[in-house]
Amino acid sequence: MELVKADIPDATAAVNEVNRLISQEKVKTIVGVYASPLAMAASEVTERNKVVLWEVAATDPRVTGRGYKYIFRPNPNASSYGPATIEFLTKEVAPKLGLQPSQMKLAILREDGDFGTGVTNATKEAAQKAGIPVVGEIKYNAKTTNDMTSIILQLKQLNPDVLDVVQYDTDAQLFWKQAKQLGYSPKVVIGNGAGQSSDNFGQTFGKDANGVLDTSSAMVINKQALTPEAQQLEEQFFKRYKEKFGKEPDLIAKLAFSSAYVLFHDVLQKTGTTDSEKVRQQALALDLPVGSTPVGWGVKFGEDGQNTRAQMAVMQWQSGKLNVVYPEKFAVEKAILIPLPAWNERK
Amino acid sequence: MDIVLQLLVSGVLLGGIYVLVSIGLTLVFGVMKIVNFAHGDFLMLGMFGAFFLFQSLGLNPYVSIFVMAPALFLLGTIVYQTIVGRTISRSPVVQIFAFIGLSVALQNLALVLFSADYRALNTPLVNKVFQVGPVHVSFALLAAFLVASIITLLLFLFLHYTYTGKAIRSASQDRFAATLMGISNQKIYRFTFALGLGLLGIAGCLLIPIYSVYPTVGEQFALIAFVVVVLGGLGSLPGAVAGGILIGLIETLSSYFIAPSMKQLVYFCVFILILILRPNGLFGKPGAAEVAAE
Repeated sequence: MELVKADIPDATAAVNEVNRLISQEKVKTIVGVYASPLAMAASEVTERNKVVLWEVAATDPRVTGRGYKYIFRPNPNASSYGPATIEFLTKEVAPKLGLQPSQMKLAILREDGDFGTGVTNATKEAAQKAGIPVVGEIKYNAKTTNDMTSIILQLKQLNPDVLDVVQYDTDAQLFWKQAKQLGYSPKVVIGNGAGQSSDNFGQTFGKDANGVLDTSSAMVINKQALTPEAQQLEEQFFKRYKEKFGKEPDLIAKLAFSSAYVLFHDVLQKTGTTDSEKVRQQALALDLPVGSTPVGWGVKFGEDGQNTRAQMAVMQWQSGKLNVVYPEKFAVEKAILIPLPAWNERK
Repeated sequence: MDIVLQLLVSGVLLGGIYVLVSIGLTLVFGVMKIVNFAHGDFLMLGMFGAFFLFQSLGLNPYVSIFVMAPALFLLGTIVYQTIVGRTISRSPVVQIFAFIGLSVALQNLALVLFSADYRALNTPLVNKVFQVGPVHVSFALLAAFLVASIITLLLFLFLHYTYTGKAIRSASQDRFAATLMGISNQKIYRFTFALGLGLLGIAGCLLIPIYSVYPTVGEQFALIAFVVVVLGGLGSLPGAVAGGILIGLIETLSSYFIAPSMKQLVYFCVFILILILRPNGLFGKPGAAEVAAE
């Protein structure tokens, strides 16, 4: 087996490069591609040519939602954030606040692109099912917003118990910085990957990050939740990544490794060929229990290629680290600081 | 009432940021009649510089001004000498391509050198807040606003009361007459361009406590800087101040009273309306754009 690499900075390049990989390099299985718009563009080409696209990072639900036969996504998609958040709010947060879910006011602050829209729609649907009232939804453009004062003043007026945020990096940091400056502190703040998942958030805010929750794929989960093979694999990965790149892997690196490993170890080694039909049959036949990958998921693909055993976790910034606090079997720490203390009482 | 007061204060302070990133652009346009499309990318360099000075030497960003302003002034001289100066007497299309090329090159250089990571400062100073009655005022925003006011004033005094300043203004009014009076246009242009970049060095230091820096951060401010400059009147210093504060106010007020994601629509509508009523901008001289197109 031979590895061929291609670099795709944008959707046009995605189409060109994937075409080249297929027609010139005769590639039969493609692993990639990170960003949702690129995955959407690339999958159009792979599907037409009956080549498998093994997507290891993009979260747009449409990637596996178009009935394509040759795309597989071991990772959870964006519509899994909402239900995971709402489950955590119902089971863990409501009792801690001493409220019934129907009394717990939820507001959503989100960037107005695909990411924010996709996540928010699923969250609102899940909140409705759980009976949690959504008292407001504020959207803004992540790239052109240089000041969040008006947004924070609006949130003060709405006064929700729980603030659900869907943000990228710079806007997440601007928001949190200005929330402190304006003395705004809801009882609970929960993010959805991206802004609150990045190491940078903890580095920038130090103790001020403590207590912020984040629903996402988990970085470090309770070892007990993993099978012995997955534990060993995780250790090896961390060690060898550090040797090769001289730094700790981040969440995306770990997700990508875990998902690509399933392809190389559980699919290609078994089929002994990259032939699309055989790869597809083997992938659909996979049945790995929860806890058998380094990120804690199991693997069981639906007909659409979406992994039905991919599971989100809820994490919390605690003493400069993003620890898994829910679900219980994955948790390394218990959730603390619910409700969040006022800014001047934070240590 | 408290809310409106807070919105007004925040709007004016945000306007200060916009003034800060716009004066260099309007100065260069006013004198040289060229549009620096790499403006935002030089700002990015200023921000990265201030960030690394803090990270490696622990230098307070407000002290870094005295390092970054001369550094970017020097860079401006070099860029003028190697690139901009060669395009000044060519057609505007050549200048546009040169600047856009420079912009792409700078962004990619930053990507290679600093990676695509977002970086932000965390010091007690940057989080300081004053509370005046019901209004919260961020120290970092206030500092940026005050420095923006001071440099605008100094720049105004410099242009009106020094020999070099007068030479710059005369070159901007009529470059041929100025040459006949013994003023070297090349020298004036080189100095003005370097000064424009030096101002971005100051802006970078003042912005780093407020915003994260990353290779394409310039895009976040470049468009708004162009709006401010055109709104105020191409090349007009008081225009840049009025334009910046106006946009800052429109932004905060419309995001509160209409919706945050509508604010761009609102200020572009105001922008278009003002240009219909006053085609040369608030303080612009008639024909400034035509001179540039020549």
